[in-house]
Amino acid sequence: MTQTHRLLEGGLVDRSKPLTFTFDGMTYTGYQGDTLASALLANGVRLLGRSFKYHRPRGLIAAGSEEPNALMQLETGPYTEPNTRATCVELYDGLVAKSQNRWPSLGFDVGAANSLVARFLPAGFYYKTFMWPASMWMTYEKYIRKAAGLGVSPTENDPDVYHGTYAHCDVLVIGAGPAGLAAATAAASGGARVMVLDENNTPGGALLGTSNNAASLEFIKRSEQALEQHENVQLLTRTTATGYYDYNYITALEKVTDHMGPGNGGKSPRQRFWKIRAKQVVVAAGSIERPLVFADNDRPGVMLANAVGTYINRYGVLPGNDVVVFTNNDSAYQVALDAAENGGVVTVVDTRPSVSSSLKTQLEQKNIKLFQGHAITSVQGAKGVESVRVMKLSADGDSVQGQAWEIDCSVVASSGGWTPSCHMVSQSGGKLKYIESIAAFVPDESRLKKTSPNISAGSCNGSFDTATCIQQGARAGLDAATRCGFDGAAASGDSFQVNEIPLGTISPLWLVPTTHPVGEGRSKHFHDFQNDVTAADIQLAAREGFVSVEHLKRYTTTGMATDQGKTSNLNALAIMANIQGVSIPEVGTTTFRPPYTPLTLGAVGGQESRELFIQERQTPMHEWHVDNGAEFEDVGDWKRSWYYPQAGEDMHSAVQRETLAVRESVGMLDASTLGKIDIQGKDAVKLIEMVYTNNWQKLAIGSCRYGLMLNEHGMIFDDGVTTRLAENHYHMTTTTGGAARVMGWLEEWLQTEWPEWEVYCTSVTEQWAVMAINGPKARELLQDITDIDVSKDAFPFMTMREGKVAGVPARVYRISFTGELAYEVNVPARYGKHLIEALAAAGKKYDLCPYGTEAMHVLRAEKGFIIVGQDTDGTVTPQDMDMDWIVSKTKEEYLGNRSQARIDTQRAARPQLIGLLTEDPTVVLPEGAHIVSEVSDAPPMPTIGHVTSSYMSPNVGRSIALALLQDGINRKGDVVTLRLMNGEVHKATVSDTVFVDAEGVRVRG
Amino acid sequence: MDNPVKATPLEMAAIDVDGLTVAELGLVNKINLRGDFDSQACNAALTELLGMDCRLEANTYVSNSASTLFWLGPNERMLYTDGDPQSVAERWRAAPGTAAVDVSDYSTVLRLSGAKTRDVIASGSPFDVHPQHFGVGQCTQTRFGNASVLLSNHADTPVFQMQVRWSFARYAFDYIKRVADYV
Repeated sequence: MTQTHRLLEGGLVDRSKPLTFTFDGMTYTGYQGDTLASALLANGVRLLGRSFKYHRPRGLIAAGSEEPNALMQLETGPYTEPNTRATCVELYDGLVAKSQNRWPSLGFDVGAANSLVARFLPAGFYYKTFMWPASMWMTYEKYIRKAAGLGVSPTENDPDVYHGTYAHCDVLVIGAGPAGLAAATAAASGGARVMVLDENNTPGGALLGTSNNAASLEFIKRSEQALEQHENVQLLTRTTATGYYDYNYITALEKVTDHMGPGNGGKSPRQRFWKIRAKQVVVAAGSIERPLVFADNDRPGVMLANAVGTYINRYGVLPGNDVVVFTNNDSAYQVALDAAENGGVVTVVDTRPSVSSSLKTQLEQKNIKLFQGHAITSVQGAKGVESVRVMKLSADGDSVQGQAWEIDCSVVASSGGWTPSCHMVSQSGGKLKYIESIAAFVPDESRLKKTSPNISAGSCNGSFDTATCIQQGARAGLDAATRCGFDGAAASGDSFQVNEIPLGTISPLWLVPTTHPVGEGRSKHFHDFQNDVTAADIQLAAREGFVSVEHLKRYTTTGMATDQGKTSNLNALAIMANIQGVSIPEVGTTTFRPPYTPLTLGAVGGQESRELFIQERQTPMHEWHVDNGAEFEDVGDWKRSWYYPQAGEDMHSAVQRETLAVRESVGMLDASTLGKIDIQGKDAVKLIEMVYTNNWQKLAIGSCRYGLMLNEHGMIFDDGVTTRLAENHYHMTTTTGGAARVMGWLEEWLQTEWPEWEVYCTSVTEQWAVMAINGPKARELLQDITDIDVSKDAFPFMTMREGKVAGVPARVYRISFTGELAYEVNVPARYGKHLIEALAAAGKKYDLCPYGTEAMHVLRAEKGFIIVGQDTDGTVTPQDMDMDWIVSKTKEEYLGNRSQARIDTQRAARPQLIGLLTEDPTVVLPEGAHIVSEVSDAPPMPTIGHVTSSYMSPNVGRSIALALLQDGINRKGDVVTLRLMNGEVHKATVSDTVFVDAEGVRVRG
Repeated sequence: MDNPVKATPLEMAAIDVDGLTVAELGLVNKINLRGDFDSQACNAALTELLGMDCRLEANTYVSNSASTLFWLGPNERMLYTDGDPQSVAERWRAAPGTAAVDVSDYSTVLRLSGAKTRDVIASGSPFDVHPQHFGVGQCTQTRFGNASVLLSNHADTPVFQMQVRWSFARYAFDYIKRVADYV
């Protein structure tokens, strides 16, 4: 195929670099510098997709990110991406694009029948039709999504990598058009740190789409050079500011290698997500042309006027030879002149009764025919514009009259005026004001959010001529830098000649009449192309009472989806205002929401994916566990040894073996992950007394004690053993998962309630590597490798001794979580690996068995030791755990004390921890299984408790379980019934929670 | 057992790519010091202990040949010392109203240098490390990805140090390694 619509010369494309691409299986060529949109247009491809609801043929409307129609499925396989706007896709060699929302083909689409039944698919159709019966929604939804659907998500993992980064600057400039470049140059002149973002691949903004490019390009180059001189300036192209949040926090998406094609970016990330904190922001985001809302204004070939100008001037593509320019303002006349200059046959249809003589003269010089006070009443051509009909407007603009002129054309360039891009200012919390003279909203500088200081400049501020944009930009850049404390040079106010015609006197005609009343007949007046919303839908919404702008948006879906109503919002508001007979500002605007343009979720995640998604914390002994075949369990964000399967063992048999070994010989467990907090200061014991329920005043130096922490509601939230190391020095341990929470808890109380106390808490979790040695042979093993006297009398249960273990300094705590004779050996982390290797070597003769967290769970359950967070769930008091013994009756104060007296904590029949022994000893109840008071065939059944821990215990020789049961402590000996998810019913006897060595002989051995 | 193997969390792993060099500093003796550092007594004791003027502005550090003292908070300092941590800690605890904890193994220290250093740090940390904002002699406690770190600036070339908890060291190192390709 040849590029039938490419001009012989002109444009910013590089004609020496042809690129090949495919669209819907057809191969085309374009040039370096094209977008997918301009390349398709150059090849005369006008039909690019089907619309969302009616499946009407659609083509390009715009040349920039406001494009509502030309959504493409880009690439294939894992690289495929739906809903990309052809106008924002830079062409690369080998690009593969497919149209969306059509079946079976773009040319013939069965869904187009929707258009014929359109009168039965009004606004709110889905809500009205598919709400009943509610249970059927899931069924409906599948078909609705398929029929209406946009693109298709990839099914494979994303092969690309992404980068996220923070950035800081004094002045952030959003947009590198004339205003933005001037702002950045001025701000940088005094040394401020400046960042400039622009979504295009090159700075220049709207200038890139004007004729007489030479002067504009010179200015752009001058500005770039000026910026390059400053080390503190960062100009980011292909970068869109996507969100503007409180305190000048702006996010932006940089498309780093998208333009190279999939897999061609080398080591560079595909996209980068910027998280920018700026002291001041200059918004120079430009403006978006509004389409006129006329009958069948969605035919492929009906475009925004400036888009036609941009395709001609920037890309060297004349979208069609016969062009009708349809406008209500002067700015589109430049497009008419540009089209004529490049060989187009041009007609201008202006809704205004008269235009200036100078414009007329310019048109005459190019042989352009002008209809004044006329309007397009219909567009012919199902898959592309073939002709338009033009009729005279009545004086009030509400109707048409007289003879209809039929004009053959392939392009309609429409301009309903310009909408300043206020998205960023609105997102920042700033308010907008309506300006009659431009028929649009601009930022109200007197109602900006003080905590997000910004200045708008250029056409996003309602000034549309280049010279004013540059002046405003320079002023804004200087002011912003001054506010940051920099003295800039006086704003230079660069100037040069641009071929442009100012807006002139705009005469809004929000809804262009046709021969039928709007909504009658088959023609449709679209204001929102992406969501297929017509003026008739707004009328319907008004009739049904959805007059609030927020209701209008949700009822009609106008302004939603990927374009977020960039071309449609103001037209929708104005049509609603007309219906209600109120002014546009009275209708108001909907909230502009981030993101400005669609974001890739991968970019938001950035590098924090895969192994960087969440830290895998490892103990100093981790490598030993790996070498010894451990399977790991995630506990908090730690990797803990779960069990060590030997050849031929499954998890069950490994755990049974490990559990037996601990009670029969000796086992070792890596306990390094437990939280550890060093507490010092003369008021240390006061803090410990406050956070634990029991008494600590009399704890001897070198002794350990178990403690339970409650929150203010009296509920258990952590537990652990604390040891008194010296007069005013304690070593507290916490649960693995609770370490940070407990540290925060202590600091919060100290800093907010007791700042005068002299007590210092320091996390020492990772300072110590800890091996717990448990079992009847633990003493013999330890004796072999320590200089500490480990005899029963010299080193009794619940004490700590310092000395050397395996030749390195150690603190050994004689504490036990298994009920066996046990020691927890703490050495500085640097010796962790050394310690475990030394233990493994010395332990050979004692059949030392490394065991993991699963065996630890079984062992502690055999003893009825609770695990906070497993047997408790934040609604459990010490009394519920049958641990009233640990609650001091003499202390005046401790955290959670007050709540012990609450009616709810005192009430009868609270769930209480008990043991359960199933009737069938081989049955291991699932954790979470419900204890029910009656069994029925299906839920609901009255639940009176649930299983919290359940294991096969090799030491008891049967299954054991812990459970919370209403009034459980009084029900020991009762038989209860459990009904499982799978329908099985089991009987179990309520028992004590201690299944092994109830007298506690072994632990003191 | 006479020569126990000492380990660091990264076992001295290093990164040496275009624009970035990362090295683990090895075993650095670290002591967390607490006390009323605004008081004359505290300051005198510390000056005596370290042999240098130890008055610190917020978020700065000071060094001599044997020690580096980082400001962590109004009543908290981090001391890197060549001395025996136990005895230094004991000597500090002799001053009234003080506390000292040997945290030598709680964390490890990475030294980052090369042109990409600041961009690598900015990839994971919301703290502004631009030289105008964070010069040589400054330190801050911030985060890098999900890891809490003590960051300090040691030379304009640039050279930064990142102190990171032992169990987060591998994560932080992998994080640096990955973003080094991206910046």
